[in-house]
Amino acid sequence: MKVCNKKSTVLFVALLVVVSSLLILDFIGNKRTFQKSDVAMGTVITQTLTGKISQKVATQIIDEIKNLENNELSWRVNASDVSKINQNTKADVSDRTIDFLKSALSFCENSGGSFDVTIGSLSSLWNIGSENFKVPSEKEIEDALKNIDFKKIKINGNSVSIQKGQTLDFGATGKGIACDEAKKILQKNSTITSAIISAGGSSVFTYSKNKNDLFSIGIRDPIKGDNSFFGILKLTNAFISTSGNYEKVSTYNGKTYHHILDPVTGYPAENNLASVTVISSSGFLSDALSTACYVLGYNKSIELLKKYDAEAVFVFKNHSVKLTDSFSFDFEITNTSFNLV
Amino acid sequence: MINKKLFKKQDLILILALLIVCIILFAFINKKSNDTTALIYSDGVIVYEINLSENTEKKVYHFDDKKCEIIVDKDKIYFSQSDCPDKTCIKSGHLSKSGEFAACLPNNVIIVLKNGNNPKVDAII
Repeated sequence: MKVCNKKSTVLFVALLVVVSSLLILDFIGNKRTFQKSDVAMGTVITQTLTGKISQKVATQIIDEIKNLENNELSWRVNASDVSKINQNTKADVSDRTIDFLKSALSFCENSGGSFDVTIGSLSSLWNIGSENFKVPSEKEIEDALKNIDFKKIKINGNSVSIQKGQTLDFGATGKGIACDEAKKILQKNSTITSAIISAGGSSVFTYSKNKNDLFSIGIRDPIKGDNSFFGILKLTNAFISTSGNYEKVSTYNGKTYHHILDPVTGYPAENNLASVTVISSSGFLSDALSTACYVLGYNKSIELLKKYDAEAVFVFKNHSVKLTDSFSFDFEITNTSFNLV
Repeated sequence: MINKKLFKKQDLILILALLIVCIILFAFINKKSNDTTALIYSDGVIVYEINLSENTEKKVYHFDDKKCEIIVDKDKIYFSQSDCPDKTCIKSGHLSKSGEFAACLPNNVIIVLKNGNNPKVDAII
């Protein structure tokens, strides 16, 4: 009987060790971080997910972003909804494309002329950042501007029509929309405890189940335009997008042209800004607002940002930095050549 | 105090061994380093993982059926050649810091730099 007791106790302790180890391993599994980079939306999408089945969820996210690109948003993919509209001036499209278009039209209306989803004819004329870049003649710009008018887009049920010569271009919102889709998938997967999704280094979505788990986001030094940052934002469960004059540039006759085109003048937006970083609760909005605010300049941007309850970091060419009045995030300047004013 | 009558020496060794195995497993799974690692993806799959912090030599990387070339030179990595039209990958320049990336989209080759432990920022935007 004594022997039996002894054996049982030893077995019990051994079992306890094994079970505890399994529990520890399971806990580690929950904390496991998975990182992956893929090409989609004409850029690099980098995902870092923490939690069980993080690899599976990351695959779901990238597949969904590729679906979005191929079926709906890309003007480069012939079978996408946007391409069908551009090619035929009229097409039946998915419910999701209708939603994107309606959001875009509403934003165009509110943007005071700084944002127009029909800018395609102008962006394809300039081709800034590509080998086909050329500085168009004034006449060419004048002609392209005639085709830029979002009010000419008609939506009837799932049917969309544009005027002949018009071209839809979701380039200024595609990465933000991709981040919105990533959020939907993350919220459906309760095992993911935190995630950060970066689309092309200009739109980021941060997600944490625990609101106190903040991410540190470096805001790129727009004067250098490389991968160095001048300040750090600490936040989570937010979308962040930056537009700056350092991204996608082309040079001709010693003059550098950046890719943020003003839909009113037809030329790259000219002002004293180097970059605008917008923080919003929607990826579409953070992306669209960063472009619109860059075009509008600081003063005119404030009203627009208020309308969408968004906040922003404005960086000027003279290294000064301004935040929106209501700025509620932890922000620290790490490069002393920049001054908060 | 463990009852020596209850636990024989062999029993204690067994339990201790199990504990050690668990600790080793725990340490292995949580292994992190401060090194900067370059991941090279081709068609969405990691084909090379290079520790830039420990690299002291210059090495050239090629990819099957793809006309692009990546050079790793000490702690820097960059696209040196590509048949793509806009050469954005080459223009991305030399990468050495965690969070940096360069991509040759036509060839579907990406370089992403990651830091094993406690990078200053989680992303740069």
